[in-house]
Amino acid sequence: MSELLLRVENLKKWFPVGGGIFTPPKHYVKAVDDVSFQVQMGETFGIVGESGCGKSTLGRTILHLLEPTDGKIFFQDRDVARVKHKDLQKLRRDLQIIFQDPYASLNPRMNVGKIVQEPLLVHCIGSPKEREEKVEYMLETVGLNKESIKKYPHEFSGGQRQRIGIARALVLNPKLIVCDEPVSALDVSIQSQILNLLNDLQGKFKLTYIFISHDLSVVNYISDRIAVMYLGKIVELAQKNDLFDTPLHPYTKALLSAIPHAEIDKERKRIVLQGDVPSPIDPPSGCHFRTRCEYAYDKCAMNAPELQEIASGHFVACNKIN
Amino acid sequence: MINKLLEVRNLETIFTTEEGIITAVDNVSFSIHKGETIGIVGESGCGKSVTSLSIMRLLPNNGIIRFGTIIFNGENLLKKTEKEMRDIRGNEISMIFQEPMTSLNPVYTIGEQVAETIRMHQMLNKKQVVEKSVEALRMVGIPLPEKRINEYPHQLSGGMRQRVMIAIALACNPKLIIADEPTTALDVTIQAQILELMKGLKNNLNTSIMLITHDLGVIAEMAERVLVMYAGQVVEESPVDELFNKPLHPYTEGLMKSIPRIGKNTSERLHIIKGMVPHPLEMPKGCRFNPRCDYTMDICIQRSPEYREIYPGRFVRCWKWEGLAAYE
Repeated sequence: MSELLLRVENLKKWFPVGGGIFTPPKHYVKAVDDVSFQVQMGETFGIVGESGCGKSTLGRTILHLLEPTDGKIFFQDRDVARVKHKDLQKLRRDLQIIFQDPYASLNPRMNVGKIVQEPLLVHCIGSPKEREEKVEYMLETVGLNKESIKKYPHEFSGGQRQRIGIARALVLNPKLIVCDEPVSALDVSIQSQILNLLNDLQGKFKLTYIFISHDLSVVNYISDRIAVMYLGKIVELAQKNDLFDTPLHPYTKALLSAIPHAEIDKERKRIVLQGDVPSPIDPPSGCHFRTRCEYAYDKCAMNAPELQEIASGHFVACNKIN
Repeated sequence: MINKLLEVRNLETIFTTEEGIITAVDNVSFSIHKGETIGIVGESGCGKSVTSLSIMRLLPNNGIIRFGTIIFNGENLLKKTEKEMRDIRGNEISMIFQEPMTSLNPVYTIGEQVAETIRMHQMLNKKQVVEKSVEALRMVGIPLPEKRINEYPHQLSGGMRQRVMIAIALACNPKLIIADEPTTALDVTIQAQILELMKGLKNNLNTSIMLITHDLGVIAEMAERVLVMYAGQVVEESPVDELFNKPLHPYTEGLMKSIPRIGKNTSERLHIIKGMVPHPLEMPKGCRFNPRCDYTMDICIQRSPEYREIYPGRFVRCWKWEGLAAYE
């Protein structure tokens, strides 16, 4: 029986828009709006969605890099959202993040040895010698040679920089790593190298990943379970195979059919969604997807559908199906 | 041949930098027929964008076309004066860029930006120019174009901005459109809309498209013929279905295997092309792909392979296939 590592309950992150010091904000951007899910120890939980759907905000709120507006985040039965600042730092040892842009997330004035060592210094772990050994070991694990310790980020290619970012995240032996679009900025041949590396490391260090991406084929490759987000809400959540074999939500269906496949077609029927994603400041009433949904009917404008379990482990939020 | 719209022969483009001379495009030859969509794939730095900028003669100051001919509609573009080129750009050949946010001018309304191209190339009065701009915007599926022409780029979404870019590119009914990563910055559902739009427009207007992308999925969907570029050279050319059924060059093969695919067994490891793209100043001797290739032979390290036609319509630059070419 797998152990529960993370439990997110009714998490909300609203960003105020407008207003001043004395006047209340005019609107809120509901970047994450009432999201609940659980992540088991050792699994990879994928989050997909288009730009602006709140997937990165969700990832950062889980790590308490952003203060949640409401809701609970339990990491091994401790509420990350309510933890005191002092304890939060301890908690962060177990929670790490890998960023999308390997160019922007490394300090150009620090050499690689310092970059990877910094988390150890912050948490006062080990003697200088132990730290050095640890850094060497970590760099070797992610496939960089010893000489890179003295080099600076600009001397590396995108794929290698991403390896440095991974080494930095791993050096504290975390339990949970949030991977925020870790391969989106990389070329195809480098992308597969990094994905394989992430898979190997997961086996080696018993890691749990929350893998955020807009690329369905990448998420499909690496995840065990996948949540599809649209305008701040999870619209469908299922085991990977269930999601790709029998997608239920009309948005998931459209998303899957929209991917251009790198093979010559056996007549595929593509669902082309009309229009754009509505502004998150003023989302449509009821079901947020109804303005682009081909099955929308009058109930959808009134009733915001709840995420419900349709089959074992397969959750969907749609009025038509519920 | 009469139906060849564009023929590039032995193109070589170099950049002079502080560290030395970089050959960004090395001996590239290909042609585009009327009404055809040709796809160019390759990873960053392989020279695909520089090829397109060379055709448009839009290279930055340190870029020089050292060698080659570019025949467009029977005329050599490299012999044209700058003034003559201005009549061709936007009128006969136009470009769609990757970043719709940065390639539109933020301080002009989109109507003015579409009108600019039309005014430049056609003798029309003000009213006709406006009518034509509205018409161009309507053609690319922008709702209420009469109102939209007075809006600024920041008021539009990414997909809508890319539609505006396409409208500008189409405004003068060009014979060739060069689309450089037209959907890379867009979300999948918006990408699907734009690809459908481009397909529809191409069929209606019989324009040729040169589509540059790193996404093999987009290529499979749009292109009729494909060029694969690696480190400044074309390594393979083939009709699209044959390329996907049986890639000839080891690089093409590696690229196709390394994409994660939906519906495939995901427990197995992804195929890897080992190493990385060589630095342009330190190109390996012999075949440029040899340090990363799974089939490297002695000759690959010694001598650079020729670009040869192996089967009808299928060209490849690889020693592995050389024997076959000699045999035929």
